[in-house]
Amino acid sequence: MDDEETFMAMSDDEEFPVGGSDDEDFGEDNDDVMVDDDDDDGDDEAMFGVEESGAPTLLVDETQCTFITADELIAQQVHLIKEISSVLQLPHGTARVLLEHFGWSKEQLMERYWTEDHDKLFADARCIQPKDMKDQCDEDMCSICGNDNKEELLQIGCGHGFCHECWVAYLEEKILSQGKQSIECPEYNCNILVDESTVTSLLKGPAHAETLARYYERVADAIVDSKKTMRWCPAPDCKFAVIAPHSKCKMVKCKCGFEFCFQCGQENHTPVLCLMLKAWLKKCADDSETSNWLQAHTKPCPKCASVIEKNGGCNHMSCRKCKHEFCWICLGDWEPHGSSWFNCTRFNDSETAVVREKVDASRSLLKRYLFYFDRFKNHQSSRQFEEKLVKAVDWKMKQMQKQGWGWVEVQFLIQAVATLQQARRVLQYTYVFAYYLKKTPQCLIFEENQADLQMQTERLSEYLEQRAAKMDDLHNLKQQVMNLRAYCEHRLQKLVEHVEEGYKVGFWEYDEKIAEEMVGQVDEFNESLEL
Amino acid sequence: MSSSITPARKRLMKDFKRLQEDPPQGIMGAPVENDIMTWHAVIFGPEGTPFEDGAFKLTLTFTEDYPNKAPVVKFVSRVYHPNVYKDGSICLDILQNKWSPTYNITGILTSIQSLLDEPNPNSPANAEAAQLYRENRREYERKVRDCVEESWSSDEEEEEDEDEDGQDGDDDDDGADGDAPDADKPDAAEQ
Repeated sequence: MDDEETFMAMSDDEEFPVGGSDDEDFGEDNDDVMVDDDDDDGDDEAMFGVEESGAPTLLVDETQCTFITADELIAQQVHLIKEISSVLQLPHGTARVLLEHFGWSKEQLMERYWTEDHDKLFADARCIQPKDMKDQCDEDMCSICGNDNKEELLQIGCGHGFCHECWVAYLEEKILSQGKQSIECPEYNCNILVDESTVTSLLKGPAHAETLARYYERVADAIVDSKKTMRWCPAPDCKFAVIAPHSKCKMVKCKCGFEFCFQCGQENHTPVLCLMLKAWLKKCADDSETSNWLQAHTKPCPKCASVIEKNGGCNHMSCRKCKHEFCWICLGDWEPHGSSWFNCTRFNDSETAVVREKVDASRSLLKRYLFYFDRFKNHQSSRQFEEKLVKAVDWKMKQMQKQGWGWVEVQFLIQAVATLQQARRVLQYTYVFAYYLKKTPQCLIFEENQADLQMQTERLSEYLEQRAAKMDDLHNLKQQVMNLRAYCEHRLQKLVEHVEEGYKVGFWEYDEKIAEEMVGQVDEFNESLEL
Repeated sequence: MSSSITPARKRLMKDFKRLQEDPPQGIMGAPVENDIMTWHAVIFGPEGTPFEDGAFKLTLTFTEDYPNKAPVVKFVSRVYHPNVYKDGSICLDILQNKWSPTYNITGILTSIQSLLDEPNPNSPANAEAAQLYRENRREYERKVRDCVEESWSSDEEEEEDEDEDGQDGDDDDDGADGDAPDADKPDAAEQ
């Protein structure tokens, strides 16, 4: 990697302090920078003059989201149900079913409740109007098991009575086996919904605790699913739902620290758009490349077209299937080759040329895919290795604090690791972007940005991994790390801004395979920019 | 035999009683000997339909989750119908997502009986039958009548099979032989 001097020289680069109005001396005099800067990261972001409005949409804005757990969510709903129930003078269960029908929107329910025909409204919501509620079972027998002890029968207002055991078995089947929270009356052709309080009272006691817990999980899922601005954090074991400011929101960061795409639920995949990522992941997962491999490494028998892989040195091939003997080099009959096959005179035969062309094309397609896949994977595994850095840096930070540094003063280390991880992640996905991009002048700029970011990322990585732990001159260490981090972040931002501008202005040209679909996706993205 | 009366078994006995007391027209059904969880049934093709005179055999396999879960119902006889698969499985909403625990065996069998003449060509299990039903009703009915006839002959063959005690005698049949051993399979698996 480049040594320190190169880095200093680079920081004098004109391009470097672009828009850096907040901190003009940066880049002019490296030595002064940050040595006395005790603030947290808020400042270095401002250093590059990222104006609020100019920040790329594809980068996470940590301030925009709020978070909620399932328990809090349900508590909120209970509050809402109580409110509706007292305003509209409806039983609790009815209020709940109505609210759920209107996607938990109080306003919508109120509006429709006062304007629409109640018979239709209640029928659509699959619940019974209070005036029509039956207080007795229609029949004296449970129609599931045939139990005719009328005292034991329970109904939910529609008159279909079932005994307690049958109710419980029915609910267990619906909740545990079918994973449902919206449960209809067991009677065939009765679509009245069983309200939450009935479920809770039927599943009382420790024997049903698990079922009830599962039920409430599903209830919370249903609430989140019904809200376009809410999504569960996909990180394993994370219990938060993220509430975004609008439904078109792109990358968000959960309270647990995990960054993901609010649209597709995959990890933060800046700068590619969901559709591109989807196409890429599908390509990596399925064996669409197998056929390319076959074409690149095998040849069809010229007679019967069986696929043949050469596994020995001899070019005198005989097809195992049709016994045809041919030359691997020119694919012509073996016979005229005689004992001196290397005088292969039939090389320019037109038929052979076609086969060769096909093989070459497949070979280069495969090569291209492998080129990008290799780099994609490489950054992915580097990210995993660099997880270790978090521990190493933590140790170093403790050491520094022992030497009298303040907690705030040592945060730069962990922040540098965070930047490194972010840069790696972005780099990883730039290879997906590059794979689907056609070579245009803008593409060359993108590739340059990518190379720059890659270089800065490797420098930061190398510095943190190799030198940070050993450095005794802590002031120098801090200065170095902060410089490296700042430059890395700057390059990252440049790259993302450029990609985003391309989406906005429309200067990217995509691979034919996804070009058509990309038009819609890019439009959608641009709409979200206006929000 | 009935040492453990589970809710499912209790309910099946009730179903049996009801079916015996009040049998709907054209439907017969009973559990196999010593196993109330497996039933054999026969549905006669409704009068005035191409299925008239057909006697189609079915097996119903219940689990202990009955009646909260639907049984597995299969035709043993070959049935040419848009909603019946080659292996005899039936595509019928009440046996899948529309199942309700208040359904009983009588209900299942009458639903299947009415499905015979009221196929749902939108969810075809037999694409050819669905197409003929829509586009060439005459050919469809001809094929249906083939299987109606078969429903009687395969019955005889099965009886012969039983008489010959497992000897694979007949060699000039058309799939009916393949059906007959199938009829025995669920029993074997359940016991």
